[in-house]
Amino acid sequence: MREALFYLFGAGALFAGANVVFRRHAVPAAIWLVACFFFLAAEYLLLGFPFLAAIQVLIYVGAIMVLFLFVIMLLDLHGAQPVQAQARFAAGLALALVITALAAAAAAGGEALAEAQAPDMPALVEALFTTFLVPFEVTSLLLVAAIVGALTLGRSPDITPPKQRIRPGRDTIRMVGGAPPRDEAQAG
Amino acid sequence: MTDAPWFRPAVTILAAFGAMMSLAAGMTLVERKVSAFIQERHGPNRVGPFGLLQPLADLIKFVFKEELAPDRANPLLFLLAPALACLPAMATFAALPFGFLDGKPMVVANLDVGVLYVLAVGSLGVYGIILGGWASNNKYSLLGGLRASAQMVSYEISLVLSLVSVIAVSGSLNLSEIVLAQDQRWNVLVQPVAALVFLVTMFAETNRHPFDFAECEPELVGGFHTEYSGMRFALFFLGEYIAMVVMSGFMAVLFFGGCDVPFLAIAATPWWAGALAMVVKMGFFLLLYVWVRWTLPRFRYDQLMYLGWRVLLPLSLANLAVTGVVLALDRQGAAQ
Repeated sequence: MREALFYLFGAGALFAGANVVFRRHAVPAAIWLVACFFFLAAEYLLLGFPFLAAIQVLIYVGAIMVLFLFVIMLLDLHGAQPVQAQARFAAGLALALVITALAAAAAAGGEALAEAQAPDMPALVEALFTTFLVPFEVTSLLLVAAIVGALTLGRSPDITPPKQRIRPGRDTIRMVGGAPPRDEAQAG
Repeated sequence: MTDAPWFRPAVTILAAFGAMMSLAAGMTLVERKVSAFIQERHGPNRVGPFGLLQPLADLIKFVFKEELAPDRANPLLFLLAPALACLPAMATFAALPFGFLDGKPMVVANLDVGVLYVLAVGSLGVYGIILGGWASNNKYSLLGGLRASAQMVSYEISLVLSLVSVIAVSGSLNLSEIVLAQDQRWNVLVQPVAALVFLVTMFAETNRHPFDFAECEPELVGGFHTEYSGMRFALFFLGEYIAMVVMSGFMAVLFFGGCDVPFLAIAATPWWAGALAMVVKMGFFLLLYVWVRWTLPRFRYDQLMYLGWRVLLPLSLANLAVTGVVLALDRQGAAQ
């Protein structure tokens, strides 16, 4: 029963993943990615890692994919040009290669994985904040670097001429309450 | 029969489902009655004695109303979105413990990662709103959905951070154990700042006043549900009411001792008294939802973001840091 479910969810994850790549439009692709994450969470649960499953749903589905959808919808990619056929072929090929590599790795390391015991929460946390503290922090640093990099790459420098830029402290609109603008105050 | 292994789970599931649906349905009536009371009106008083059967009349109306779909709406997602809005709220109800019977918690699923489960599944509710807004092929709907997603993602961070300090104090992710840890002292006394942050984010996460930007009538017609009618529209609202019930229950369990009756040990409390205490606490917060709705005006969008990122987030982070330091010092003191 457990094993059958494992393969069922695995097939579901692969199917959803393939749909992410082959969908023409961005929103359905993103929704298939959500489905893929769900299947993976189910796999974690079956493998005896409820913590990992909950975190997977909480972080990836509940936060990151919502932001993805937000950006896709904000940019209105609904009517955008579908991805080129060549690009789709390349993506499909890459997917196939990744699947093959993962399958090979799983076949090679399957026994070791089966023997590994699922740690309980305190043990997991203890390991994360003592033994693996440095890798843990380095990973978060890497993520910060990636965010800064994405900001730098994504910002187009010519979008506003320097003269029209908002001067901090002088041009900003007051958020709450505040005094009325000076002109109005003088007129009144 | 009562000794059969399936008996207790089956009764628990039926009772939980019944409690959830009747609380949500009752809440629609309470909302209208209390709104009327605050505005010095009568409220619904035609169907049944004192208008008590109004939810039933509403249901009949919703079922028989025609369901319209706009041109070039995404048919599958348009159909799926109301269900996606309703389902996560229903699923989170399964983790709420209502008391203890024979030393075992009265809960559908006594999960070891209960807090994470509620957060993870609860955070899915935004999909129904954002996809409903997108699939409607309507500018107002889309804007409503986008606002909702930005708001929920922003406030979820503060919500999770406020809960981390509660988890640190209780030493468990299991909701029943968090209740047991509050036998002597409710968490609201230990973590008042976290309780305050949770209270504010609770309103934001359920899209209720003063955070109901997703359906801001003067600007966005009906927001994400502009194009919905009939039972699909009702499902959005059912989802919202169940989410309110779950959030109130979560507030009671995490900060107000859940089924704990004041000045009485949990082990010595009869199960019905515990369940009653839990329902009374939930009822208070449900009433607070309606009370706040007619007391505070809706925020402006920049005020919403300011409150979320510049007030609540630093506050919950500072609270977490202080909690961590105090707990570390406490542990050191205990070791010496």
